[in-house]
Amino acid sequence: MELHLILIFMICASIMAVEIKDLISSVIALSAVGLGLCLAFLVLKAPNLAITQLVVEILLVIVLIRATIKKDLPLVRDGRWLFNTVSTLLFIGIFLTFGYFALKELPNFGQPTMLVSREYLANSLTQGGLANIVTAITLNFRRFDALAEASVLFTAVIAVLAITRKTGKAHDK
Amino acid sequence: MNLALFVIVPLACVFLIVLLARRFKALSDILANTAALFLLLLACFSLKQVAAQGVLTYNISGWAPPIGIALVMDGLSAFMLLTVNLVAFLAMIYAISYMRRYTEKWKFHALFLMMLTGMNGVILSGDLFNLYIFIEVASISGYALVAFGTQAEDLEAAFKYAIMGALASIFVLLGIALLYSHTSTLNMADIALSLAAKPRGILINFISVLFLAGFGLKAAIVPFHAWLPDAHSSAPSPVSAVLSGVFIKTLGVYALARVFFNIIGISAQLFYVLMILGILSMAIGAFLAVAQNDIKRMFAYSSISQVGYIIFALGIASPLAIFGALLHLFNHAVLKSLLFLNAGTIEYATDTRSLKGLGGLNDKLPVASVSSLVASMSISGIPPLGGFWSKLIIIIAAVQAGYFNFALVAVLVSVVTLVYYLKFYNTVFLGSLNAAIAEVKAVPFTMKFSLVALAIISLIAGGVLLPGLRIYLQAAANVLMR
Amino acid sequence: MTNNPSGMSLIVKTITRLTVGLILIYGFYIVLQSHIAPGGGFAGGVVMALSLIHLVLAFGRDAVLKKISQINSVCLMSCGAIAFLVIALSRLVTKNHFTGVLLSDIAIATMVGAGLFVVFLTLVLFIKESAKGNKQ
Repeated sequence: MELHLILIFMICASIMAVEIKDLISSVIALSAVGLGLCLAFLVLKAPNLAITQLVVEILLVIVLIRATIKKDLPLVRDGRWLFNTVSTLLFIGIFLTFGYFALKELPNFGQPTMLVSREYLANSLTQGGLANIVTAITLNFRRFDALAEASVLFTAVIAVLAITRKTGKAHDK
Repeated sequence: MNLALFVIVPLACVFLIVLLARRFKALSDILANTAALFLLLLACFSLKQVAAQGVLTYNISGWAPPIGIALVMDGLSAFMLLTVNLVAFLAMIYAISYMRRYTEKWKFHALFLMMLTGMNGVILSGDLFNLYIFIEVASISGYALVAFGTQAEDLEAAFKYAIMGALASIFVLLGIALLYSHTSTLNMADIALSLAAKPRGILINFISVLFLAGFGLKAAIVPFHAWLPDAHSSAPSPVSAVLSGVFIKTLGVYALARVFFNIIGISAQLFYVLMILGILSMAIGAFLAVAQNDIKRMFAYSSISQVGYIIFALGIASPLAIFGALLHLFNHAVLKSLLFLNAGTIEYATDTRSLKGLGGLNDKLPVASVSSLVASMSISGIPPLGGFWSKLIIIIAAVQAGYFNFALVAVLVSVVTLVYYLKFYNTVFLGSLNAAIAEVKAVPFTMKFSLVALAIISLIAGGVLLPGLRIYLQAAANVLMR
Repeated sequence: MTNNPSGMSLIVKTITRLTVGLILIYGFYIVLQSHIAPGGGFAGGVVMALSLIHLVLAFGRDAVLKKISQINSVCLMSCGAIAFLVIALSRLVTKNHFTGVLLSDIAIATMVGAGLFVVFLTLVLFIKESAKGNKQ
């Protein structure tokens, strides 16, 4: 029940974030989406994810507010606006209908404990002394994924450094 | 042999370059080129090992799948690794001189090697979520490399690519999440076993559509192709060569083939959808390419067209068709990267890329002229060059399977391809020197080396059909036919 | 709130002097107790980066850049990344899982913290650059 309310709140906030003209209000609506996601993780009993989501959201909001202060964005409504909105709504409709019938076939959340999860639950305390199973999964059983995730972050940092250079092309001498 | 080396070596080089390259200026060049050469030799060596031993696996940190992550190399992976590392190495050599036009070359080397890490990881991954993460690694470095010139249009092209690529990644992630929930394991072989035991419902179709949309956007299949021409005209030439030559094929076509042929298992409807998308890409790409004035945009649309051939052949799915698809993949990787490096050479020498401002460069740029001629002839399908054999095999497979009208479209598109490549070669190289060209700079040796190497490879690529070398390609095709 | 190079008011600066250390230690604490309570390297690293960003917001970029330069942060990030790579590969870890998880958590936290701080500094410096360019 709470999960549905939080999800509706998130959908409303994201629609507001897209449609509002003022940039700062848009950023605040976006942070509301992030907060809703954090609450959703808490309701789904995933505190590890909730902590990470919260602190990343804080960082994101600081950066976005810093970037959008004193900037103005003209909202363009040209002739193709009607076509874009109608096709977007049509796509969302088809996706949700198809998805509803498809998702009915999934097993209930957590009902049959799944094959791999059973192994993780059994082994994480004995083979590492790690009581926090999420850390056991990300850093013990699937350390390679953590390495790749860290390199995704690394790449993003290098990308920011590369794109914000003062001069891109050296002048020919 | 440790399969993780393909990922660990470039990753370690990236970290070292970022740490040290500010102080030691030449370090990034040396380290990056050495790493690329090492990976190329490792790929050749592993091709032989797979032919001898069959499938190689490596369990990371000793955890056996499905608990841990496994890296798997079979015939198809070895073939793709060779293609990727070959093109990346030659593009890296080219970039030694070409990237002098840009500032802070070490950032380019770091991003390029990171893209190579991502592609190698995608090819070797035996675990579905691991595949997704390496797709992300390669994609983000791709976005940054497209924007490397930091002009306004480069940033806009990269932004468009980033938004569309992020959407595609979300579709793929949703598909993976649904598949994990359905089968309770992430290991690719396990998922295949688990899905074979369950009935096929709407869920599998939904997941297939999600994967098709996600990987299709990475592969620049029509109707997801809109980011490719802008990205190509903005990226530096070595990046365009790798982007069009191997990136869209690894992240798009290889991942698509792996997921659909080996994991989910295909239905006849999906084959038909792949064929239709292939035909659309072929035709739309070719007709849009004829009208272009910018060389790199013309090559970008040509890429869309040729990837359409590969997808069409995968859709036919007879053994001959898959053999032809993989041969065309290798041919196109070599030829398209050669063409993009040529476009870069022309731009380096004359500072322009528009067909209106070029002409008569045959005498001033002999290496570029000859290699462009070889590449254009081969990609249009002139015998006895390599491209002819792969297109012939695809068309014969289409006729054998009974799709006569599709085969006719393929032949027509091939003729149109010949038309615009002849237009390109005629306008740029033949005739008299265009008055608008101020000066023609000399082309450095490293750029010529890459052009010559790729041209030689494209000439002997037809030799892959010889019985001695055919086994490698046959092994790759057999993986998909199981 | 503007891009004021000398930071915010005196009240904010005084409070910041007290809280920055706490936030930094709290981030490190999240990392260290990740084996028994929710947390983990990524979240702890972000909190450590946030403490440094807190410093920049309160005191202004010039004062902080004198002490912590951008190049040092990039080097710190690369060291963290190399450390994580070495830890992930070494045999010590495949025998003793607990140490491996702890060390890799610390390495990840260093990397993430330094990396996000570099991103923030780059954006701040970029705004300074374009502001200077607009004035000229």
